[in-house]
Amino acid sequence: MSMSTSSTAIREQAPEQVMPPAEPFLRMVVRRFLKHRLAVISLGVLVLLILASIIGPHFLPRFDALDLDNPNQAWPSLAHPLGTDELGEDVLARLLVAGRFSLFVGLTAAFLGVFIGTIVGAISGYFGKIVDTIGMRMTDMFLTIPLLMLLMVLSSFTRGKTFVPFLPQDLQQLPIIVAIIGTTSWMGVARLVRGEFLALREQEFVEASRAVGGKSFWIIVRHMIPNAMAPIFVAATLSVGDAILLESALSFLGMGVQPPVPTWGNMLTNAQQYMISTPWLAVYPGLMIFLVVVSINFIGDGLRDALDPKLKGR
Amino acid sequence: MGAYVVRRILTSIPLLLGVTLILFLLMHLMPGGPLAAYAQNPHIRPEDLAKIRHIMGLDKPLWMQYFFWLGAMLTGNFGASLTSGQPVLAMFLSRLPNTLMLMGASLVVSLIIGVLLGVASAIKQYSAFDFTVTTLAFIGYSLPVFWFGVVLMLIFAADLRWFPAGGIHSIASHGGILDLAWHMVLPVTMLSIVSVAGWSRYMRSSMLEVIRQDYVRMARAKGLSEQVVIMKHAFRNALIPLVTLIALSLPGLLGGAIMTEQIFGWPGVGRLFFHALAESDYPLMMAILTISAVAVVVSNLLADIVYAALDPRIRYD
Repeated sequence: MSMSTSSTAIREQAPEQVMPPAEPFLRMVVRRFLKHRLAVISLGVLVLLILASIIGPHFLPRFDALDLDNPNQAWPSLAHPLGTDELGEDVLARLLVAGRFSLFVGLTAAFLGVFIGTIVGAISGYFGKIVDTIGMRMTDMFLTIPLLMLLMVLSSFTRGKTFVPFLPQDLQQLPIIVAIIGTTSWMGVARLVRGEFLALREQEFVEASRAVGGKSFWIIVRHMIPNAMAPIFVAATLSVGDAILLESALSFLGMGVQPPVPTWGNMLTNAQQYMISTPWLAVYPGLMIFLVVVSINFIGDGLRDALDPKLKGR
Repeated sequence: MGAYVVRRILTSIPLLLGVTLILFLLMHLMPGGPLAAYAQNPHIRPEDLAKIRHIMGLDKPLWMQYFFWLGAMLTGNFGASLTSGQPVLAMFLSRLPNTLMLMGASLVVSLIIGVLLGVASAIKQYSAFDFTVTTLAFIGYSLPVFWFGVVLMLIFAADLRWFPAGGIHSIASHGGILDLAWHMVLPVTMLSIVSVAGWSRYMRSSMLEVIRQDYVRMARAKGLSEQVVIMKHAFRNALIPLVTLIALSLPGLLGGAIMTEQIFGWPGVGRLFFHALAESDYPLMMAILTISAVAVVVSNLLADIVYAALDPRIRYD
């Protein structure tokens, strides 16, 4: 469809009309992003952590020290750089395996939340009037209920339920946690997308599309969402960090992912019992959560600067 | 102004109804339903169960049940706890002062530190100090609060033994205020860290916004000293938006309080909620959730009214 080019055309014209040969949008974003030093370093750290979580456990001796006669924690050694835990499991290996689950839950829950938020915000902002009122009041309601409490209640109500038949019993809890975090953390994105849509709705390309008989669904998906993509993308990045924090908080409180499936949150809960004898066990998982979340937040900040220079310094 | 207050109160009624409706529907997700506790009792026959169901009105249509529940709540009847048999509201109220103390202290501490940091970094925008505060705020924002609490306990309670690891009073003391303050240091620090990061960011951008205004330029042009310009003209105006943000921070503060109370064994509402979850005490759980949500709506309402009173530039009609 010829209409579909309108979105990119508008974007390239607007800010750089004075500079004759317009730089391709993507290259401009990358160039601006690379200027944000902390964001670039953070991206490196995050990629490294993800790769380590995926590949690392294959090369580490997870259980070779498993000795039930003498199952005490071992001090860090050459064979076990971070020592072993109370069951004799290599802490580094468990930390990386936990990373897989923590990152998976964080990413998918954030994706679900952004997806729901975009739908609610788009419908509210596009149709306006009564639809907007209903959508936004609903958003207010969800913002009113204290999130952590709501998550804890939802988690306790859904404990032990089976939603995805082909998953092994241990892993059944993962889709549940993803679902409850995703369905309760879409409000920020909904407000953001609604705001963008209210502005976009008045623009000529939307009017033009409507004039040639474009269906609402087509206009929203093909023209308006692509134009609101920059702020959605930034919000999505930041919400991955939030989702990881929520999951770890829930798991730490014993209301999230349960052992034997390791996540950073429940490793910390477990380590609390051995705080006097092996305090370092309580330090590692929190440090991992912190590293991941701070990296994501810096990347989000860098993306915001790169995608929308107007917002710089906020 | 009066008309605005009335309208603002009227518009929060549907919000409150909506929130209670969501929570009411949430109760229907409860495993086993409200009679689960009776159903497990071998002395209760199915006929009895049906009778209880009828007496409690559980055979009525859903909307009717909602209004019964709402009516009971409005008269302060949140039901009885499944574990202790006591009225849920009394249990809640007995724990409330401890939590309010923790949240209040944390709010005051984090506001003072956050506002000072924010103002200072706005005045010295792009300086090394500003950069440091901004980076520290990012770090504070990304900290897993519960981990921060555990590390605080590890260092200051387990290792250095400067502060107690938990509880609200020493056994030996007679409930003195100093003893209480000593017990509050670590929990309040834990609860404040994320808020300090937030407040400093908000205050910085609010201050930067105000400094650019014409009336601040005017104050400078009149030849007022920089100190007077910042403190009397800029700072006081930059504080106004914070009123709204304080109300908006309440749900997060409540969540933080749950974790803090759990880690430091603080006998407040958060721990009560935790106990309710662990024991599947549904009436208690729902009462705490409902009262918290209502508190959030009411505080948002108050914030809007205070905001309107503080800022005469804003007209509401």
